[in-house]
Amino acid sequence: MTELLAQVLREHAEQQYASELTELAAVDKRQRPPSWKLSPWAVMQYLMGGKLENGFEITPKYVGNKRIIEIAIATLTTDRALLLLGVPGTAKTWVSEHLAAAISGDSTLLVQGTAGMPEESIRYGWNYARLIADGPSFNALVASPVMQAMRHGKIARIEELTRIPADVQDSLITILSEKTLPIPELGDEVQAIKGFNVIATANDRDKGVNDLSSALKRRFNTVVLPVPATIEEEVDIVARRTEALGRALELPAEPPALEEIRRVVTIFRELRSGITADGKNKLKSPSGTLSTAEAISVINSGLALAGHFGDGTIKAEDLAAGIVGAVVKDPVQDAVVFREYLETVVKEREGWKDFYRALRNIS
Amino acid sequence: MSETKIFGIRHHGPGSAHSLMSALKEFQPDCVLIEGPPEGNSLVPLVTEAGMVPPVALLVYAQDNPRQACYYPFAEFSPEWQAMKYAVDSGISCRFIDLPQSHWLALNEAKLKKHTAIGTLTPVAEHNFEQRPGEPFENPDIDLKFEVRPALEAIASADPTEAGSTSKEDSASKEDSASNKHKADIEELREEQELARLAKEKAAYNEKIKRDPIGCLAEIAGFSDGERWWEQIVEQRSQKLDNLDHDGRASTYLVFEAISEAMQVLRLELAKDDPSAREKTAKLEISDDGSERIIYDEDDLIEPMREAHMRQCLRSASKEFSRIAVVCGAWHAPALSHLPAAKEDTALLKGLPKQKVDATWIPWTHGRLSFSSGYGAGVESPGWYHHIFTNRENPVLTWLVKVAQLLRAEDLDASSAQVIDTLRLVEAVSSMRELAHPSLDELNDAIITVLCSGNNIPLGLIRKKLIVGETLGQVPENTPGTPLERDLAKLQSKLRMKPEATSKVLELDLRRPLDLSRSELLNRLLILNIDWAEKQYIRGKSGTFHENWDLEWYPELSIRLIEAGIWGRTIEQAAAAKAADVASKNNSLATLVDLLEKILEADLPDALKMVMDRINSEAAVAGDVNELMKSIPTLARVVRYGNVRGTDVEAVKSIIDALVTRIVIGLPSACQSLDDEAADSMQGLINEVNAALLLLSRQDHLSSYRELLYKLANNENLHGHVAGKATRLLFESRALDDQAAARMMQWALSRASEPLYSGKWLEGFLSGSALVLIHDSRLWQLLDSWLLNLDADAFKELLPLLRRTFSTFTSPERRQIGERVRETQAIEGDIFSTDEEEDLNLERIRPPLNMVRFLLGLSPLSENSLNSASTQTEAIAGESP
Repeated sequence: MTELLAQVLREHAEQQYASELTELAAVDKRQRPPSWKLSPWAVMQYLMGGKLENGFEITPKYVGNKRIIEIAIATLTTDRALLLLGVPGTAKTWVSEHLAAAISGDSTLLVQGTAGMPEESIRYGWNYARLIADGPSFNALVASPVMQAMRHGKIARIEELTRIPADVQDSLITILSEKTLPIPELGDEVQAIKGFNVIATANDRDKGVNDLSSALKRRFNTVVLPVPATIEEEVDIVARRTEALGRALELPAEPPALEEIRRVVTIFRELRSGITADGKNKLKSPSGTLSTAEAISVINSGLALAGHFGDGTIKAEDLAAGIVGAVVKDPVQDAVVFREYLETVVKEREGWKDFYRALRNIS
Repeated sequence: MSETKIFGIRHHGPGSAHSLMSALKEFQPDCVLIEGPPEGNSLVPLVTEAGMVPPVALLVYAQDNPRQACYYPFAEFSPEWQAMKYAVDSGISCRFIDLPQSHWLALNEAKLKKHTAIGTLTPVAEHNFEQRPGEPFENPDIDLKFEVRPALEAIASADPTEAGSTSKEDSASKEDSASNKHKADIEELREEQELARLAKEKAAYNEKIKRDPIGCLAEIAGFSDGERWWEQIVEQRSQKLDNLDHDGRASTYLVFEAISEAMQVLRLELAKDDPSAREKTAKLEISDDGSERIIYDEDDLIEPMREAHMRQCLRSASKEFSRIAVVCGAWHAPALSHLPAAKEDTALLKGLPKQKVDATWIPWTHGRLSFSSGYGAGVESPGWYHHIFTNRENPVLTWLVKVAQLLRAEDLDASSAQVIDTLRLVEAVSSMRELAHPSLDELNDAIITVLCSGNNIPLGLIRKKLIVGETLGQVPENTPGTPLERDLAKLQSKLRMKPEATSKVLELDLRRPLDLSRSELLNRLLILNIDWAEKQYIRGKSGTFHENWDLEWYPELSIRLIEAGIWGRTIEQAAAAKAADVASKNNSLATLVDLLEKILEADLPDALKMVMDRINSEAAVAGDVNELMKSIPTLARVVRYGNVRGTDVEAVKSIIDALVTRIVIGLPSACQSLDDEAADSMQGLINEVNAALLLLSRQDHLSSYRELLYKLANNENLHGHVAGKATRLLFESRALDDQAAARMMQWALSRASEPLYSGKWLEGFLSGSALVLIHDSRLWQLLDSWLLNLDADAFKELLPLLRRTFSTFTSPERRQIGERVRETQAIEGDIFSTDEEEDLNLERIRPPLNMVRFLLGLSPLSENSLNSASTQTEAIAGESP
């Protein structure tokens, strides 16, 4: 078993951090909600990290505002479901996996939302061989992860909730409000055991999302995971990720200078927040999300350009196409926003002449 | 010997106010001494007057210079207010004991004069005096953040029941060990951060400690707000103590004793690093030279002087009364609990400069109680404090209901079920954070998560309407006059403008200094919503230096003048503050530009920059190009004619630069798919902006605008009206030569275009320009030669469109056009040849035509001049009776 585990490409959170969870459970003397493996306090420790009384060090899983995680955990102690909202790259899935691992000791009850998802993935399907052979019975039923979580009082995770078609999304309403899953074929139902809850993640700014109906929205407590708070933090994330990715993709270019990354991140942050870095001027924001993840891909494609077609060092020209592509998602509105930004901000900025020229040529 | 109890409170702390109320009831004093300006003593009885509704402020100002003043705001939940009310209600004596403002203002003014003289400080420093003296304890040499921590640990661990017995040495030694423990941390931190930033932080923190020592203690203990700390540490314990109290002492008073103890520790800790030597040398110098010079140099001396004065008052009160309650900021409590020999205090207070001051009550607002308004001792959330002071039973639920009602009023979802869920989340989060009572933080977090679905924009609304609140106070009618009234009276006599109840017209010539000042005063009053005068616009007298005003004073204006007192103490200052406030609350560019014009007219340089900044940032986010365009003419006018008033218009120019850039970028897409109405207003705007740019005659703007017009003129997908207008403007500015214009006209009016488009194009091309058509021979010829080159069928098709355009001209204009046609004919002679194909019997139509011409006063037609061309032109000109 251990050997087999060693070969696994990626371990589940509860496997990778099993020792931390055990240590926490050992020192955790606080009251635990029904079916919870740890108390809310210990879940908090697990996510934010810290030193236990016995000297055991818990690694931080989420670096950021503690209050957000407090609200998320507190939500799960009530009977309302938790919706983690945020642009790509804000650790939504990561937080949801670790919450499930710490609370239920099981992060595998996962439904991945896709555009073509049928209702069966949320409710239940049938094993047709069995259905034909024995007729409708619980034995012929194929339970969805949500149904399993209800039966065992665990946390079910739904990833990318807004990618799921609206009518399928709404099949969650009964589950969340009545805490029951009726099976009309059997004239029976599965009632959720205490401890059952749902953590969903969603992205509200992407294109091609199905907005939640207000009925469903009302059943969720929404916690927005913010983008990195300071430019230093974000430059650091982008620099580290590009370096790691660059190695993995074996790009022939040198890792980019921090200065270039800082400029890309500055453009992204300014357009995203609608205000210049010095806080003096307001800007219009484009329709795209301009997430940290996109900044990373802009730098990466710049690296590829510089490596394969340039002299190996990243230049403004290499980044320009990527930046324009990331910013201008709507050819009419965003183009106007971006040109305004170029003419009123980039043009004036000290030492940005090359950027201005490169961006202007392309947009 | 009289019994004295010191109640160290937190300014504007509802918790303190509540504790104080019950403590006063228990103590039954016969005299209440309050930290406040003694000049206000005579005003105290007004607090129970019928018309008095807090928030109000006690205003002390220099008689001869109202700009020198100090506000002492009080809200319902301010402990000082409750103490005053208690004193007046129970008919006991109530006095303010702080250092008199007559000295304080004089000291400040002397300092100001000195600094202005040597050029180190501009008179803007006046702003500082506005703030209520908080708890100043200037001490830039030590890092309070770390020094305070042990003191807090001492108070948090000290049980108030033992507070009396806990000796100072004990707590001091505790701190010693604790501060050693933290020394390492301090070192680490210092290494990590740049020195400059640290110094800045430290200064800010010192400032904060000065303002709100209890709040800082709370923060170090991990509370986000001083009230929560008071609630948790003080109120909770005091309730328990009510039952436990056996030694016969007033139990609620124990709270204040413990606070005083904590402050004593804090003060000792600060004094350790801050050599009291400084205080001593300063004192020595005073006794040596006896001069006041030293005092001006040392701001720090204000504090000892204030406390000395408080002690002096306490001494004299103890001779008159037997049970004295002293209500002062917690920071001062230890200084008043032991009365040293009076000699030192007397020496310190000797020979202070003096100034004549007046005091009055003025209405205040919750908004201006909040810290963000620049009020030094302000609180973050006056509305919330008011709520917890008035709803002690169940503040959380009632607050959530208020929030839900507010959201519903703004058409946002907030069902009762959601309120219940929010309440449950609040409870869950508070228990996770191990709090007995949820605070505003928990409430806000839960409201965002449940009621607002993660969207924190509604919270801005909640903050404005509830957390800060918009409550406006009132003062009774018999309140003494405000400085604003005095200032106005002074200006009225200076400018020889008597307020009269009958309407009177005042004609002003702005080139004369007196009239200019008058105009400025009237404009400022208008900004303050005091419409004593109404500006009149008289046709024919629209010169930029003439103004006519209709003056009429009515009694309501006096009330508005009192209300305006919250904005400042002189008309100028108040108008500037009000304008800045309006600017910060308005998002519409048009309103802001309007305001800018008003400010320039009222000559308020203080507000100007703020409004410019607002315009700049609103212009950046304004998605609507129309709005940008609408603001251009006003701004251009300001730049072009602003100089009559001698205002600086450079900043406006830079705004125009940015606006033109944005318009040039945004206009092409804004002109897409317009309906008739929108196109009509758009072409009007294009025209106005063009006129404004011509007025400014900046070459770069004109050329980029022409480029834009060229784009519009050549875009066939635009509404004809807009394209026609653009062509016309280009033609007028000679950016298009005659041939190019003629070609574009032919294209637009060719058969390939929809008739409706052609008509609209022509309308845009010619609209509002009958006079131009008559006098501009280029345009005339362009139109004329186009018409002459039309063949008969095309003419028939276009005739209705042409008639429609020409029908917008007035009939005299049409007649002139007709006359012009005839002149052209006369000049050009017989260029018209008879159209052979016309199937007309010339002989038979001549008599009726001649009759018509006779009726119109025209000469009869000659044999061969009857031809299609002239009829065409005349038919269009619509020259019919």
